[in-house]
Parts: sequence; C-alpha cells; structure tokens
Amino acid sequence: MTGGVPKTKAQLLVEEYVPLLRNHAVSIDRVTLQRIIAQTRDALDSAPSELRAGLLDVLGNARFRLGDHREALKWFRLLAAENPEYADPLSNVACCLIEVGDFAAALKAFGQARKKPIKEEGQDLRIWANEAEAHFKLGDVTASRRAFAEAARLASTEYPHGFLVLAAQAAAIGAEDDAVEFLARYVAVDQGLTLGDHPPLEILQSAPKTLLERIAELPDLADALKNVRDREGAVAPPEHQVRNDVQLDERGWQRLTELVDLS
Amino acid sequence: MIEIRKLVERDICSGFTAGVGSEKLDAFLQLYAKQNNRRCTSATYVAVDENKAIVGYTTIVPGAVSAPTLQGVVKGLPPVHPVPVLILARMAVDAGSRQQGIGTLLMQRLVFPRTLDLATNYGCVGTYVDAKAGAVRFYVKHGFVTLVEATADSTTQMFLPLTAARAALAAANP
Repeated sequence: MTGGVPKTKAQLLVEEYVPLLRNHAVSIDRVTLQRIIAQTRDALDSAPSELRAGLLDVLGNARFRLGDHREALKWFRLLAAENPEYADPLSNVACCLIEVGDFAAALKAFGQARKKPIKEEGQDLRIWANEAEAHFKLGDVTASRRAFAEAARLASTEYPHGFLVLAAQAAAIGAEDDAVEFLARYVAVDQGLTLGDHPPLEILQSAPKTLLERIAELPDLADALKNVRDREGAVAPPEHQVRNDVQLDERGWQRLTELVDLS
Repeated sequence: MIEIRKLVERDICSGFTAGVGSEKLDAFLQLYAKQNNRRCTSATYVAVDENKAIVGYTTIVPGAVSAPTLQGVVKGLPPVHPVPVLILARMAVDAGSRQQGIGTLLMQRLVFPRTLDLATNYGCVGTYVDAKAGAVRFYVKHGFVTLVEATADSTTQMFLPLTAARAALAAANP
C-alpha cells in the first residue's frame, strides 16, 4: 500500500498541464485546450495559494496556444503581480505583448525580467530569443540578431527544448537557415543522432511525424523550412553568385601585365 | 582569441552583421555560403571568437582574369589566354568587431597563404578582388594595387601580385 494524502484536483491539473503546455514539440488541439482552460478555471478559486501560480501559468499558456493573446496577457499579468520576485511570469507577459503588437512594452518587460532570478529551465534563453523578435518587429534587425546570438550562446543539449525555441524565433526574425539548423539539433537529440557536419536538411529527414505536425502549426517555422528546402535546389540569384571569371579593360590588362610577367 | 577556419554546417550565421549598406554580405553568409561550400563552388572561411560567434568571413574561389576582348581578335595583337588567379569573392567583418584586426587576420592567415599555395601547386599569378569604395584603403594596406578605378556603377578592380603576398606573409610571420 502506497498511502499518503490524495492529490487535490488543482495539484493534478498543475502536474499534468504545466509540462504539457510548455512542451513546444507537442501539438494540442483546440478542443483539448478549451477543456484544459475550463478545468483549470474551475479549480483556480478554491486552489491553495501554493498552486495558484501553476494554475495561472496553465491558463496563460493555454490561451496563448489558442492564439487568444490578450486573454493570455491578462493571466500572465496576474501571475507576475502575485510572483514579482521571478523573471518567468514577466517573460511570458512580454511574449504576449509581442503578439498584441506592443513591442516597446515587450522590450521593457524583457529588460525587467533579465534583472530577476529565473525559476524555469531555459528561461534566460527564451528571454533573449523573444527579445530578438521584439527588436525585429520594431525594425531593428541588428539588435534583433545580437539578441538572438545571445540566446543561441545559451543553447545546450541539456535543454533540447531550447533548440525548438531558437528554431521558432530564428524563423520569426527571418534567420531561416538558423531556424532549420536548430530544428536539426532538436531532432538529433530527440532521435539520438550525431550531428557531425551533416547538412540540417539531411538530419530533418529523421524528424518524427509529431514534430512535423507541430512545425506545420507554426507558420514562420513552416515557411522557413520550405524556403530553405526550395533554396537548396535552386540557383542563387545573380547578386549572390560567386563569379570566377574576370574581364579587364585594356588599361587594366596593361596594368596587370606590368605587375606579372606573362611573356 | 580568434580562430580562422572553414565555415561548417553547425555555425550560426544570423548574428553576423557587416553593417548598414552591407546587407548583401550578411545575406550571402546566411543563405548561400554553406550551400556553396557543400557544392564546392566556392569556399568560405570564418573568423570565430571565443563565444563561437562569427566576427568575419572570406569567400575565395580559383578563377581567371581575361584580357580585353580586342586582344587576340584584332590583327596584330597576340592571343592571350586567361590568367589564373585566386579570386577574393567576399570579405566582411562584423560591425561590432571592427578595428580589432579581424580583416588583417583573414588576410594573413588565409588569403596570403592560399594565394601562395595555389601559385605553387596549381598555378596562380596573384589575388584579384572587386573592392567597394570603403574597402580600397584596406586592400592597398595589404599590398593590392588598382588595376581599374571604380566608376559610378562599378567597384575598383584590384590585384595582389605574388611578390606582395610573399612579402606580406613574411612580414606577418617574421
């Protein structure tokens, strides 16, 4: 007999849904998301204080996945207000602000988040990666690429989900080849493959069907993958071709023959 | 500590920005350099800092410089075959890493030795580059001479003779 106190409904919801919703590789259909929201909403009012943060996180993430970003913002703001000591809720607020188009406020929130301790694994990577998107949406490509480089520096096989975050954000800032590279790194860890110097598209041939379904739900990432595949089989546009034949005019040729003995 | 090595599949290129007006150089590195390396249509080498960030790159390819079209066609002018050179097809330093000698390192550790290697083993009379206005001084400093001045719609055609490459390499490795 295992014994122990039976888990409360709120506890079960937090244990099941927090990791599920944070798993970027998993696709969750709308009906399931709505069911999660309804169950969590029911449990919230009577939940003990130590479980509120988890439930608010579930509500924010479920709304975010539904594309209901204003509602997600509401829940994450409440979470941030009740847990001001950590970076994580503020980071989620900032992500919602990007989605509702308030990029300057998002950058401010990311800046505030970076000054606080992190609770959730990989949050520092996510803050930089999402900040890259906010800069990009504000038209500052250089700042965007710099922030993304900071995020990329934090990538590690110890936190494979970080590769998916980076893939999605690279796609969002137009860094398509890096998006595909990070997808490949995720697949390599997930499938136990050695990356070596194999091209990422080659590694992605081993991607599980569930991941491909998830990618299809993320328009920027799906487009990045398609564009990289298309580019692989195409001729580069003239401005990106490398010419290996040079024509000199008469003056140039004369100058060259003065420098090099061609006789 | 800067490492100069060939661009590999695992390199993350999107953090590289050569600065305003050089977006095509960024795009080439990010979209085509690895593809060209795979296809062996050119070779891109990178300068990488201690954080594995690309702070500069150079793309080279063996090529040939041809005489003016009149030569060999007009009666009295001897026919001249194209002259083999190393073509310095792209070169850029990250805007955040300027004034740190990255371009010079790429010249000393890559361009000069590859030019001399090509010359010794395969035939090559020097290195050719189409220099943008802002880069002419840099190339002059490294021994290049102007073959044809820039016009409103063209770059400066520049050439590094083998003698200059040898002298520059010797000066860099006394």
